[in-house]
Amino acid sequence: MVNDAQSRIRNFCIIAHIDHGKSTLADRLLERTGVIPHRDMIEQVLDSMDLERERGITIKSKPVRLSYEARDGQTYALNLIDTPGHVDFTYEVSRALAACEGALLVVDATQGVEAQTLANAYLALDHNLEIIPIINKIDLASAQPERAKSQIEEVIGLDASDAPLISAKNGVGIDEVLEEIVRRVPPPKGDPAAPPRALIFDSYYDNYKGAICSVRVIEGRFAAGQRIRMMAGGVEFDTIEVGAFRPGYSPTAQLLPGEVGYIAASIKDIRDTRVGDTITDASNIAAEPLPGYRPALSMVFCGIYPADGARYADLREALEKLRLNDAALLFEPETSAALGVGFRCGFLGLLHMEVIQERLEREFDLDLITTAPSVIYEITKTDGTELSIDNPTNMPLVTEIAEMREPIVHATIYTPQDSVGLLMELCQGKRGIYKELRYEGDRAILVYDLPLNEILFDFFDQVKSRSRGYASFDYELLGYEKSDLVKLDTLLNGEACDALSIIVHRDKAYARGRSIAEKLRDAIPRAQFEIPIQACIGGKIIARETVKAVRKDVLAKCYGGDITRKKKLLEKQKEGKKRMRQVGTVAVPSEAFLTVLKMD
Amino acid sequence: MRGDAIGLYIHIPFCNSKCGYCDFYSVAAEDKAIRTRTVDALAREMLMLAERFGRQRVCSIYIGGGTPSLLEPAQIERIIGAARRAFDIDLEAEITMEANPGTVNRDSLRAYRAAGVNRLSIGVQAAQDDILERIGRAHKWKHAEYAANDARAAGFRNISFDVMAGLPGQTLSDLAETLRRTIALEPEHMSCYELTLEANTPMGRARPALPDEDALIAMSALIARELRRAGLYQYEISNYARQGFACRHNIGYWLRARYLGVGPAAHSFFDNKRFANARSIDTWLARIERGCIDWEEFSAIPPEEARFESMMLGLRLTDGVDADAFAESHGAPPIAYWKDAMTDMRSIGWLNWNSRRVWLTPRGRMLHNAVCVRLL
Repeated sequence: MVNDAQSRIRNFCIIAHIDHGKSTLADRLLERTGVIPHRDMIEQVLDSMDLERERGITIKSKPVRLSYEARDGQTYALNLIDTPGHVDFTYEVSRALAACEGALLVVDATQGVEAQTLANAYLALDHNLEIIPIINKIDLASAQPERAKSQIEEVIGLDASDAPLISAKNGVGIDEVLEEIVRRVPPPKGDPAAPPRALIFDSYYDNYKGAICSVRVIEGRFAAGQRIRMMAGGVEFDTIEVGAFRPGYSPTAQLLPGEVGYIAASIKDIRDTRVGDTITDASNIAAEPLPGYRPALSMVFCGIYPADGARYADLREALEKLRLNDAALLFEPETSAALGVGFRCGFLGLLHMEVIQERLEREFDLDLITTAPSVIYEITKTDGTELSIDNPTNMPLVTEIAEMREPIVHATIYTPQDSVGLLMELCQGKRGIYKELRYEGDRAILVYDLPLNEILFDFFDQVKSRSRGYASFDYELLGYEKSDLVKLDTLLNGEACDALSIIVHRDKAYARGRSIAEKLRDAIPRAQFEIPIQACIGGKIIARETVKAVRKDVLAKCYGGDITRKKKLLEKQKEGKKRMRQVGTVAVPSEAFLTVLKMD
Repeated sequence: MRGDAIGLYIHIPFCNSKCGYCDFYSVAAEDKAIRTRTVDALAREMLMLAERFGRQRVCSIYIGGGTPSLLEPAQIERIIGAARRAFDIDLEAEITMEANPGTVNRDSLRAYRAAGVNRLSIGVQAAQDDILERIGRAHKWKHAEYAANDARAAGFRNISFDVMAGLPGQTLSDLAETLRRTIALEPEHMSCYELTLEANTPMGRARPALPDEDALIAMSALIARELRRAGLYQYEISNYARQGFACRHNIGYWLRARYLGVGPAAHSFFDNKRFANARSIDTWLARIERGCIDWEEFSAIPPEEARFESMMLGLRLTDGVDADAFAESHGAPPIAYWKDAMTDMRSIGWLNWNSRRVWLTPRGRMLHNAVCVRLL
């Protein structure tokens, strides 16, 4: 049944490849519907974190209710649900899509369809959304709207003949977009009398209201005073306030089926508001939760240590603050012989990891040492026990391992045709298993199954550089496969440095060992004694380099009485020493720990 | 004895051409007018300093640059004369002037000597013309020989020669030849500087390939051996002299004695404060010509830093740091402040001490920076 109010609701999201103009279009929609007057418009209101704005990506999605008077004379409530645009957040995207009936698929007229356009479009199709293709950036000289349209038709199989041609930047075609939303996105359905069910598709931490759930009500009603229950989490809270974002908090008496809004219930821990969980009424519990819930899955792990050991407490506080708003961030204290005390952190993926590291350094002014990222390996021991490790330090002795398995991802690379050869070579070199190569117009889609640990290091950069920046890349976890993996250790002056250990495939171990030893040789400053650097597997040395002893370190001159300058030089030398970690007798600069991450 | 006498440094900021490695402040020699103004300003600055700091006793004057020998002998005479008016110059004061080969002749040298210069420092750098050209020197080896012979003929009895090691393309035998030929000029003193690439110089930016550490160590050893054989003993990391000819002015720096500097970019150390003139001839001239003593109020060097300076400077000397003199300046001998570091460094053979002094071993002298970092 569709009542009168429901018939004037449209729930939609915008999906696009990075930089195709999703956020700019969102800004224009907000502006056009008077949510934010033009003069107050900060560029891209929805992406509020500095980092998001800088990188042009959205990490957090915030729903906004727009009030739009359409050409048919009716006023519609349009709920815009902005979605994160990166593969690390695929699950979050899928929950946001589940809250919508329609999606605007924004394609850059100068770039055409890209990997994430595709991935997001397929996700939207999986959720049975009405997809409205939009061709953006038609103001640019290099725009080829017809080409973009035909790509949408050929590659995704959507009719793009009526796709609005817009320039979000210049505000061209915005009304047409709004009309298309009203005309084509189906109104929501849902029985207000049924036991309440609402989908959490995001949550935020508010200093005054606690963790706030962004929800889409499917059935029933939600109102202040109601006792609610998280169906997967199993916890209950008393609702303090419900309302919509316009884009600030705008409390309402209740939230009805089809509506998008927020529920605040003085929830202290954001981990109680899991994305994908179903909220119901504690005294009128729904029979079934909504489908599709899955706990956040950390795929990538690394150690994060303060460069200055004295700032451990600051680092902990910073991580705790970030976790307030990021339920997917995992961390627990860890101790490394080389790096002292720090944290083992788990992330949804590589971007998530980078974003967290950057926010720690930027927003909390911390200097960090991060260890090589690792995935989770599964191990069956000879005694039949199973274990999972995300830290090379915890790898059992070779003799105790019966079998090791590593995560494999299904990777799709979308690229100009002339880069296909180089990219295949790259995937081959990363132990990829070729799956498919398809040509779509002048673009190619290359599909490989790749070990996740091979794409941890420089895969993204390589994809970009081998295609002169034009290829894009997306992946999803496929599962675990048996693999011949070894732990590659590094000894400095005979002592193992745990922070430099990595798990690699046996075939790659020699090359990696050599490369790490060479890089460390250049990164470790010379001491008054010779420092052997050895890479080894289970006690067997596979590469050796030597940092020669310093025998000469003296300034010839004293700069004609300029003593201050000489003193400054020495102080700098001293300062450099402070930033080093002591591994046995060897002083290792913080930067050296990053060298194991770099490949040639 | 030095007593409470100070050193006086006079910076002549002119060069005909800039050497590729040189980081000292200089400008093109330009027209006569600016040289005249500079000489006037130097004279005036000395009077201003004397007014401010009192008529100090001076035991050494060092006229450096730049290229002081680009000034007319009469101008040097005027500068030394002004120094005598402003300060109380010891009768036996060491008065050094730097002279570049190719810019002096017998007459000019005789006139400098008549003006009061009694020690000459000649920058020969290398005996190979291709190396000289590569590092941007404007002269050839033969000009160094001419300068030395002319200086002797002019009556100079105390001549120092600067040579450089670790130059781009310089081999051990190149250096041996340079030493041999320079020793043949019968130096009273030699300064052997290893090339240091400074970031803001043409060579620093070009980053030429330089001899590696093994070669540099061999060069240091060669220098020490050849000069010892020639009767010059090493009294400081880069300086060698016949008995009685160690450079008094430079020893003042290493003993952390007081000095005043005049001229653009000149540094001073006085009343436990370090200060420097603007590194711009225009700024400096404008200030002096306004008659302005706008010494910024520099803060006194804190005791801990002062102690470190005494060690950093004093350990450059072969004799090292005199424990009693140190205690007199800083309250207690070095061992009282650095027992752990000194013990540690003695155990690895960098340094040694007895009740009278602390000194670096030959190995420690090569690692002077590392020693200082331990003391910081």
